[in-house]
Amino acid sequence: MRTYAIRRLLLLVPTLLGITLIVFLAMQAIPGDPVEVYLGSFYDEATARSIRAEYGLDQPILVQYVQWLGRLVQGNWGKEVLSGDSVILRISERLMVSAELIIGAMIVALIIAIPAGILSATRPYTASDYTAMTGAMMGVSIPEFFGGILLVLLFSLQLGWFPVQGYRPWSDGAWMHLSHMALPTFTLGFTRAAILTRLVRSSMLEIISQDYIKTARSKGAAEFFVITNHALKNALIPVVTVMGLQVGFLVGGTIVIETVFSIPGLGQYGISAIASRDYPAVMGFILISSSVFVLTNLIVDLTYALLDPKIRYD
Amino acid sequence: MRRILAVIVSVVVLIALGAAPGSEAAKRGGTLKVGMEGNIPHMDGTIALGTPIKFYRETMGAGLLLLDENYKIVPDLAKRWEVSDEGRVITFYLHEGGTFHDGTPLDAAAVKWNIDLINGRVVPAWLKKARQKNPKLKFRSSYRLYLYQIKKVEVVDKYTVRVHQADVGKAQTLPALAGYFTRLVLVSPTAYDKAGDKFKKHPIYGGPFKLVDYKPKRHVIIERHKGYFHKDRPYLDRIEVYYMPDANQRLNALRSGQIDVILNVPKGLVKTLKRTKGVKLYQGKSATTFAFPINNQRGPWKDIRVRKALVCYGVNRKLIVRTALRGLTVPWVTFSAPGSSDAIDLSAKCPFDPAKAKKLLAEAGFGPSKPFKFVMTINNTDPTFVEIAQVMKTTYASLGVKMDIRVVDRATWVNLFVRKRVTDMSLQDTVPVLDTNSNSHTFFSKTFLDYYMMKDKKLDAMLEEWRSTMAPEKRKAISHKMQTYMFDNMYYAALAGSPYIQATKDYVKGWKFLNKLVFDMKDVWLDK
Repeated sequence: MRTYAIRRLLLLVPTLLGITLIVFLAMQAIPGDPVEVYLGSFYDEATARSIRAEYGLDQPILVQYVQWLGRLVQGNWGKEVLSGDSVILRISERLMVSAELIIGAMIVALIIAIPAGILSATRPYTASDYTAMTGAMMGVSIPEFFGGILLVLLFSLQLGWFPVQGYRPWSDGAWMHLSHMALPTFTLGFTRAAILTRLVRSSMLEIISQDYIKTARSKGAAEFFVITNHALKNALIPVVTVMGLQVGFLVGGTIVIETVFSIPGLGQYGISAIASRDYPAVMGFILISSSVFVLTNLIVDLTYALLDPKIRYD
Repeated sequence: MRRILAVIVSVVVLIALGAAPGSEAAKRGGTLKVGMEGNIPHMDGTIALGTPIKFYRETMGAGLLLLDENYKIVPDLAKRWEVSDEGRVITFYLHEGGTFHDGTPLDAAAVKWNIDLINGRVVPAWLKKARQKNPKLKFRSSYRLYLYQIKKVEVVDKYTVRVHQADVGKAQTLPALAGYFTRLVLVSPTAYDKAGDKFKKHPIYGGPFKLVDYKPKRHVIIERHKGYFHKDRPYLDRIEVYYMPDANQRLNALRSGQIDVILNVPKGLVKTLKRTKGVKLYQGKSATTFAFPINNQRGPWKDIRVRKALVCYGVNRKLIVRTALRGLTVPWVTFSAPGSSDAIDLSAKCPFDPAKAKKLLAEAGFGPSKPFKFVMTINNTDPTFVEIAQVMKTTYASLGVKMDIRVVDRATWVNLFVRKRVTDMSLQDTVPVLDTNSNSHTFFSKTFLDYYMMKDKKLDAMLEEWRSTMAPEKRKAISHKMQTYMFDNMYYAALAGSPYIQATKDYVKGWKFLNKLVFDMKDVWLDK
């Protein structure tokens, strides 16, 4: 398993090189550059030329890419063109915020999805099954931005429990921080819960009809023990796969929630970098989000072996 | 007994007067929380880059002059000024004792340094250093567009400064200093000279508030500056500006009391806010226009018949104002906006007349066998653009004109519209216009920024005449002549005024609504 993990980690290098090269070329192919965005309607060629020269944007595309790679190897992710801020510094700040949001959302999703999915599967076609599936259908159908606004209307404007939007760091106090993160985390988690509930239910339904579950029951094992120890563990394999993919997508995909709740996360950073054609920022964002995506998938693959001893990578 | 009665009556009258709404005594202290839709990549106010940076620059900074709510030029750092030598010389007498936020003196020498920096007569140390690496490096302040005429700045004494100007341009100095989009805000020479990069993150101005914390895409926190030259201002202790890109969240934050002010209320939310208790809306005659600029030098647009058909008679402005602009403004066809100081309303001359438009197009060689086709390129920063474009597309279709809509992001739009100038037609919410001259770089062919592509020497001459005429009434007459000339040639495709609305909680007092021309927060206070 160790050899397999190392091989996968080594594969990360050409994968990331390919991704960054494609993105770099694509960014150059679309109209507009950071200097045009910077100067806007005050754009004039002479000033623009001077600024381009300052940031090396007047070099041929491949030279720019190689220069960027060269700096990256030395641990220098470059500076944002518009603000002059260090890309790695900005990304690390925002990655922490997004990671908290994603992990929180996944915890919310699991807290809802696993009990609801089990309940649904063990009592199919009953009121609890219909309730869980209706909730799941609602979660899948309601767009996140709309769900977020509904939660704000209820919990912020009507009940006044949570702030409408914004972000406060832990240094402002735990309650201040958590109260700002509660609604975005729940909004993001609820949609994921809806997807996972349906998955847990279908997976559990398949597993509990297996012979070894009947055997466990015929041996007199308690129903709770049968469900949690025998059925759930095996039912979790597809759930873990989907969860892994979801985490990968969420690194850059939290943009809607981050915009609705003004959370300074990585998704918001990436979109704004692309919109302003800030190449070093875009490359940094792509590098970090694709790395997280690939690494999460590797972790998911390794988790299979833990969940199912029949799966081996040697 | 009579004396006692008189005293009681006097006291009652005084109390009543004290409670009258107009005579409320301003309270000091408190924190004002503002919701801002736009993010700024840095805080360097020497280059104008849109409304959000203008808000920060002017809230923290001081200039020489200001506008009052009637667009009259009033003192800021200059407590008075004298114009002599037929307008070629202006002497400014400055308030004494003020400092920049770094404690350095805000005096005549600092004013001279700032104007010389703008006009390239001073090269800051950081730029000299950077030029050793890259000799081509240039610094061009956008303020220079309207202050290039200042040829010499003379320090008369510590608090008196005199500017000597060229003839052409001398008339624009006072309005440009007071209320143009690129209104001059003074920077600390010491701080700016040392480090351009550091200044970008932490600008040092000389206004009523100083920067405490700036986190891009999160917040900007500013606090009262104790060295401000008006010793009894500002009233507020602190202003916190939060980045809120989502319009609904700004609305909800205002309703819940999380913020006190929305600087730019989206048109679609005005109705809701009008119904919200405890909220006050500010709206005046708009100083900006919604325009659908055409490229006057591109293909068939060179033909005045095409321009008249599609810019004048073929556009149902009333319908657009009623639908996409929610009835919040008026149809408009001239360069200065309805609320500008030299506005001239010629919209009656441009009624929606499809028959006339068709006839003009036919004369220009376009008809059922050869329909006029073009693309409108709009950016995705304002949902109103799409709504307006859809209405125009439908209207043009009824004339047999085929208009395609291309929606692009702002970077692409700047590339196509401003830099390459390859669009047929676009949509634009213009910068605020105090007078016709204040946004004239967009049509003055002697600048490099004339993306409206009018390229008309007669118009350039009229503009230079405006810039050389000191008498305000004469200037207004030239401005009207210029706007009528543009209208007769259909160079400028104005659509309507652009409604700009601000909202505050009702306990926010002393708020000045200046249509984005100037942001002045020193008199704002909280009655709570």
